[in-house]
Amino acid sequence: MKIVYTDVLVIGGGLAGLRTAVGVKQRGFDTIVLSLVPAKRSHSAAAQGGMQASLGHSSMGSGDNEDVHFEDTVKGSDWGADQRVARMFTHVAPKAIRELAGWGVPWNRVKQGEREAVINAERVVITESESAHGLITARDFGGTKKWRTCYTSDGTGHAMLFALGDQTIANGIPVMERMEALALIHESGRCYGAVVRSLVTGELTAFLARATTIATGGYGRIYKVSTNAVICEGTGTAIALETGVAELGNMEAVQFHPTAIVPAGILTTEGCRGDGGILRDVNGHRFMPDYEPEKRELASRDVVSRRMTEHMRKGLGVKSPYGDHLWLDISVLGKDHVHKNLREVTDICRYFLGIDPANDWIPVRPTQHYSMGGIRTDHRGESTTLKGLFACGEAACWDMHGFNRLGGNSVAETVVAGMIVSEFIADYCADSASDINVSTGLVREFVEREQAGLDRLVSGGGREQAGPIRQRMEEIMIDQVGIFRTGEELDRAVDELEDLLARSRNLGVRSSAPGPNPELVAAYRLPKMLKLALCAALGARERTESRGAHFREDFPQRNDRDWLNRSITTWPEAGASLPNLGYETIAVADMELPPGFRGYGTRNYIDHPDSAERDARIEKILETVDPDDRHARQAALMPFDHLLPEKYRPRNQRLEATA
Amino acid sequence: MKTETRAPGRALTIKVLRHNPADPDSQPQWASFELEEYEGMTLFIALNEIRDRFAPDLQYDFVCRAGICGSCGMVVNGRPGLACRTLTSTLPAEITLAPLPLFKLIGDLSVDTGEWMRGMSERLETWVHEQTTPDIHALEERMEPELAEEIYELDRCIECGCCIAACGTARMREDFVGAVGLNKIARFRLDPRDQRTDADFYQVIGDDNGVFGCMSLLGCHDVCPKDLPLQTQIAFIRRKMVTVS
Amino acid sequence: MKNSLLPARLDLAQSITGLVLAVFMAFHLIFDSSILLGAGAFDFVSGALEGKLIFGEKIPLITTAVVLVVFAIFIAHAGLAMRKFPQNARQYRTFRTHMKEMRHGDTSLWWLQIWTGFAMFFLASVHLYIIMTQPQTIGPAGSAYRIVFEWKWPLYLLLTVAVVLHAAVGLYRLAVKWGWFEGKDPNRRRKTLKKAVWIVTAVYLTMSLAALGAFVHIGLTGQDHFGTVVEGLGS
Ligand SMILES: Cc1cc2nc3c(=O)[nH]c(=O)nc-3n(C[C@H](O)[C@H](O)[C@H](O)COP(=O)(O)OP(=O)(O)OC[C@H]3O[C@@H](n4cnc5c(N)ncnc54)[C@H](O)[C@@H]3O)c2cc1C
Ligand code: HEM
Ligand code: SF4
Ligand code: SF4
Ligand code: FES
Repeated sequence: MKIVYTDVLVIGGGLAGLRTAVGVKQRGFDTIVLSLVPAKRSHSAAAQGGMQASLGHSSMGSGDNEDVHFEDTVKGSDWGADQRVARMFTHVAPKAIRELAGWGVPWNRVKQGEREAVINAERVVITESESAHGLITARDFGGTKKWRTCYTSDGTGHAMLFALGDQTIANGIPVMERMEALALIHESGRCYGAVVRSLVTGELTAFLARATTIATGGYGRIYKVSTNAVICEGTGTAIALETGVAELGNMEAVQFHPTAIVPAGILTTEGCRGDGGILRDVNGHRFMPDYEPEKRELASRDVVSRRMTEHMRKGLGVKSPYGDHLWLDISVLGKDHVHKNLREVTDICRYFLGIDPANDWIPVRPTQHYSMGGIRTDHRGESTTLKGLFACGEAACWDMHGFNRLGGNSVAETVVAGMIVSEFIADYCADSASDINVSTGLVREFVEREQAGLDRLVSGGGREQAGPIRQRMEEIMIDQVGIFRTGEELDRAVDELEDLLARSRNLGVRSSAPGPNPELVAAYRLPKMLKLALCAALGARERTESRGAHFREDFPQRNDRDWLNRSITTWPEAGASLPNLGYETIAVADMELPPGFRGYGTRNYIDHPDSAERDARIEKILETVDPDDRHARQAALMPFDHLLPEKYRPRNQRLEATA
Repeated sequence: MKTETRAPGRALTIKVLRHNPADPDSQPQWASFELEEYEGMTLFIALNEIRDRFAPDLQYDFVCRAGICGSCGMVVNGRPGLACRTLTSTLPAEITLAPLPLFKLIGDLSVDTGEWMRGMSERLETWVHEQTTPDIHALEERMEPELAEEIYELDRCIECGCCIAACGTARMREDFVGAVGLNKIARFRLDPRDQRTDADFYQVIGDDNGVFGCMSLLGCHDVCPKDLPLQTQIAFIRRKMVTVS
Repeated sequence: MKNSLLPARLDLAQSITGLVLAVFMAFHLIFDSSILLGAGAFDFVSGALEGKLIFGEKIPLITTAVVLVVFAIFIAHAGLAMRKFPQNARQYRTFRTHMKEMRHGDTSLWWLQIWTGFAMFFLASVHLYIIMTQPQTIGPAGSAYRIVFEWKWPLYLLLTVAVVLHAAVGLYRLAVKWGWFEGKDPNRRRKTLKKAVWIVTAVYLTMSLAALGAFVHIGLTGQDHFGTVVEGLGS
């Protein structure tokens, strides 16, 4: 039995995992990163739009600060976020941008003078100030009051991930590629590491560590259509669930993006519609004005996605071998605009559809995009129930996104969480309480259990094949646990998923080829994915309200009175057919921003009984504080400084202050 | 404009060079698969269909399947390229697929570019070398907007390895850093935050495994899926390196 | 210092020697082709180059000296360039397979360069040696005699083809290697350069082969194609 020891085992080599590894290494701890693929190929590389941080340098972002970012984030989350965490996040985001700048990310910069831009399909002239020239600039992204999304052309995630990947190498941190964590090793509520399978040789190794960190990204691939990379199968989240101890939060909170191309599922940027692109149906009819006469194509992501789905359900979608779709028409913008300002869309259309969007319509449909749910952690990133297990990035429910994350907030979360959580991990490792004295017997037990599971798949005579079960799961998820949800459909979804899970216990693979054996890989991942699917479906079925991305046709209102809480799922019995579902209350009494109207969508919610009281209390508190001191006002309402690692407490310098 | 998708298309024959080094009995050999082409079919879709229907143990690497991550480099009809963003309609009805040469073969179409790239990065020290750590609480250093964009243009490399597979020099001389490495040097040289001098860069690429090994065959330039200006950058670095004294 | 400056110097020297040889050949072939304007023209040119205009008479030693220098550069260039040859059978095979699979223009051109260079190593050596040792025989008659009766025409035929191709491609390579003439759009410019290579090749080949034909004609008939009788054939 191969055993590898380290201080901090980081599972996942995306932005979150790498930043965590760099953090603990710089604090003097040994660390190893595991990844399914070379780290720089992680899904983080696909983020194009940008990263939110309230620098406020560009003129359209001027006046921005942590407070505005915080407010946008909490409203975006439909009050599902942990407001303290959202505060920590918005405070550290500018530091993260600046740290990355120092590591070489070529953030686009403010250029003084006038320039033309298209905002909501109208041409406007923007004037940038001389004092901001050369500082990091920002663009517009849905759901934000200010232009706050920092970017590097059309490859923000790529530039960030490569800078971090290079830092990892500079720090001499080993990244073990093509290594898949199959199970966490744990006992009595304490995590000791993981059983890991090599995707080159097929061998198992036990990695033992003081702290284990899961940064394995989202679980988008439980859906049939997803903008996520094909490796975003959520297995990292699932192995936490399979401990029976660790909790997952808000698994039903899944975001959809309205315009991914068909069949490839690749995103076309929101800019297409922002610049004036329109949506058409099978008859070439522009249908959005029929539903949303005011905002039309420019309504928010979730609204456009829902309307598109609604329209296709009426049979007005375009049939294709890959399912129904609608058309996105940007040819109306003119060849010049399309080829120059929407270069990456032009490229995607050329390579994946063989069309020129300046002449042809683009086949699109709403597609799964982001997983808000994940491993539930405290503000330090440690699992609420399994000691020594940390999580960050999309895999975690830290919880700053609540039921809907804002575009640009997730790559920001990955690095910010990496910065913060790595400090707490280092603190934890510095403490003798983190010493591990795990018996080799326990390690052997875990490794043998995994090996036996694999052997059973290859030679246990199982009759079921992974392919069809997986396809069915993906269909159920997209059709019944998708954009529109109803109790009835969710009932059916849960039932059928349970059935699929039962069938998956009888899987067998045909190929026994030595090495990674892709068929075996598909087979052992499937039950893990099914469990996540069940968590999402069950959570959605029980949540009889609509909040953020979770939309119940039969309960279209947000209901703060009964549902201002976080869904918590665990899977205590390995053989059970369903997870345990519980709830964690989100207390209004501590909120800096009590629940109210989001400012977009419909004003349609049931108040929490404590809201009014909290509102009044806030008004009272603010009377006693200097109205010009925003920091003092904030601290009076909901102090959070003490929650941050000391090195990240200093305030962010602002351009106005230097003038 | 378009309203209906076209009826099923050509019959494709896809030949894959198969070999599983983990299996002592395995010998490299061509396997042939017949598929019916659909509109919008890419090699990603085609290979998945082959795995689903004919060869469950077929190995290949896709991650983003969007031409972004650089995982799926393979030799398509003799030329290295990204399989995920290759529409079968752009190819003849007979398609041959082989793994990228030079990199360690993991199995079938899957090769270990990651290890190669990490080795290259360690050798060339492809990270910003700064004298002092910047203060993350204060305003960042200013940079001209055009310079930032120029750096990004070179930063777009996705380490797919196509340039290495397309390079006659790299094929003959295994320690050659290749266009990917030379481009990285150009990228960090351009970055004012990296305080290395040309003499420092000469230390890592000033030999026949570096820029002077390049014979200007431009295979790299012609296959780079990100259309990086490799010709210009290698020439530029060469000029800078011969003037180091 | 780990890396010495030697590789840089050698790379530069390889290009400079190649460039000098190419420029030399560009003139050499034009001078050679003066035979197309008749025996008198060739006589004049070869005489002029041997210092007749300055010293009033031909000084064959000038030829010997020039050839000596060119020979030295040639050897230096060959030596430098040979570093790039496949070093063993494995490399040779790998490159060939690679080239066949890739079907990539510039890669194949390099192969052409290797082969033409390799051929010239022998062909040009012979030529240079003869000219160096018998400079006094250069002239319409002497050259024609050598070409026809001493059976040098196959050598010159191959050498001409080799040198024109090699030099033209070599100059193109120099341009892309050092980034000369890139202009605003290097990709477009490269295509133009490539076209220029083929034009130069065609022009020089036509001219040089015609000149070779003219020498053969003189050798066989004793007259140039204008009918001027060439004295001293066979002397
Ligand atoms: C198309 C697209 C565009 C996006 N654009 C934006 C944007 O503009 N702005 C924004 O803020 N966000 C954007 N996002 C979201 C954002 O990119 C992700 O949320 C974020 O990058 C996730 O980073 P991560 O580090 O948590 O995970 P990932 O980058 O997904 O990394 C996961 C890592 O875990 C490894 N791993 C997984 N499972 C295992 C296992 N079992 N064992 C070992 N290793 C494992 C993987 O190999 C990988 O290295 C976008 C997402 C998509 C799909
Ligand atoms: C009159 C004779 C010759 C001329 C005009 C000539 C010209 C050139 C030129 C201009 C180059 C490009 C230089 C560079 O890439 O740096 C070149 C390259 C080359 N030459 Fe020659 N050359 C001649 C003879 C030879 C001989 C005799 C050989 C071989 C033995 C040779 C082998 C090569 C090779 C292999 C290259 C390619 C080098 C590389 O790609 O880096 N050449 N030559
Ligand atoms: S330079 Fe181009 S071909 Fe080479 S690794 Fe980078 S992206 Fe790929
Ligand atoms: S120019 Fe040619 S030799 Fe140089 S790196 Fe590119 S392919 Fe290789
Ligand atoms: S799979 Fe990412 S580039 Fe092809």
